[in-house]
Amino acid sequence: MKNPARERFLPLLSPYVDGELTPEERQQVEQHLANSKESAAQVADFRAGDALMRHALEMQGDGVDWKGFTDAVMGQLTPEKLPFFTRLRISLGELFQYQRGPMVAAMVGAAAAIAIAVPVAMKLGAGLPAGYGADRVEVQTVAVDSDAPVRPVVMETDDGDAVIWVVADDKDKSPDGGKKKKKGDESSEEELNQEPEKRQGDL
Amino acid sequence: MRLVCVALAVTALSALAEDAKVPVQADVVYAATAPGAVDKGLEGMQVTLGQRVKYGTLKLLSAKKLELSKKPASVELPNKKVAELVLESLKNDVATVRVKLPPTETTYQLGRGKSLYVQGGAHDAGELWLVLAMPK
Repeated sequence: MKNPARERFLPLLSPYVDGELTPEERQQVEQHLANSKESAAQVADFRAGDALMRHALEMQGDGVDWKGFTDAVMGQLTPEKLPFFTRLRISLGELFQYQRGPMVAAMVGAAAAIAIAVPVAMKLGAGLPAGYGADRVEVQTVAVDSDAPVRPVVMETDDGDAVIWVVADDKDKSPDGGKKKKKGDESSEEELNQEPEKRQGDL
Repeated sequence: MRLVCVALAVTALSALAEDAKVPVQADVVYAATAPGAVDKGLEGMQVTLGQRVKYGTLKLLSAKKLELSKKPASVELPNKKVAELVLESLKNDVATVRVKLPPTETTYQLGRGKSLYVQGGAHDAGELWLVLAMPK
């Protein structure tokens, strides 16, 4: 003979054992179990089966090496890597959102460092330019004090050096003899007449 | 923080505003035709000057490294003369220097590894020479 109440509660017995019912359904099932020995016996069978299954799985699990299991599972759950600029934007956004003070201080410090480093580098570069000399010494002008009875003789050597000799000026009393330049190789001499200069000196 | 930034900026700007400086080696050498010793490192000078005068004695009296700028730098010679050096210009990576050593005043361009010899007057039976070069 069919029990209508048991027919109604039969589908709920397994979810009841698994704890999947709402509190209201659970209360109804428990009232039913109190009145139905068959259903109560079936629930007991379900629980015994679950315990047996759990025990068997635990025995099986004891022999398994679980090392790295979590990493392996989580590795499979890692989402696809975002593009670099997207990750950068997110990282910067988070930094400015959560570390605003230190970030602003760091940026100000970096700006100050650049403001110092660039002029200093320029200054050093200007002070010691790579090769601030020509291939050879080149004498541009030589003047002599206008009242000194001497004249300059410039000698530029083949090696690139230059020598300023000061020699007695026998013919010097002319108005254009004050500023002279001599240029050439070791032996040849040449004078460049230039405007008169003041004369003094005792050489 | 703001004050520090302003100070740093002022320092940087003042560094920019400063003139360029060019190091120059200024040696004073005593030279005499009398036979004697030639100091180490002056053999090249003896050869160079020997094209006109055969010096038998060359003695390094002083060696000074100057930082030339628009502000005159001076070198005293034992005969009481004073040489004044000024950086005239620094164009195209070539420095032009003005040297005033009475009675002469010379403007010249520095040469890499080259020297300018300026006769500096009589001294102790010989002569003094001012030797200007880029420091090694």
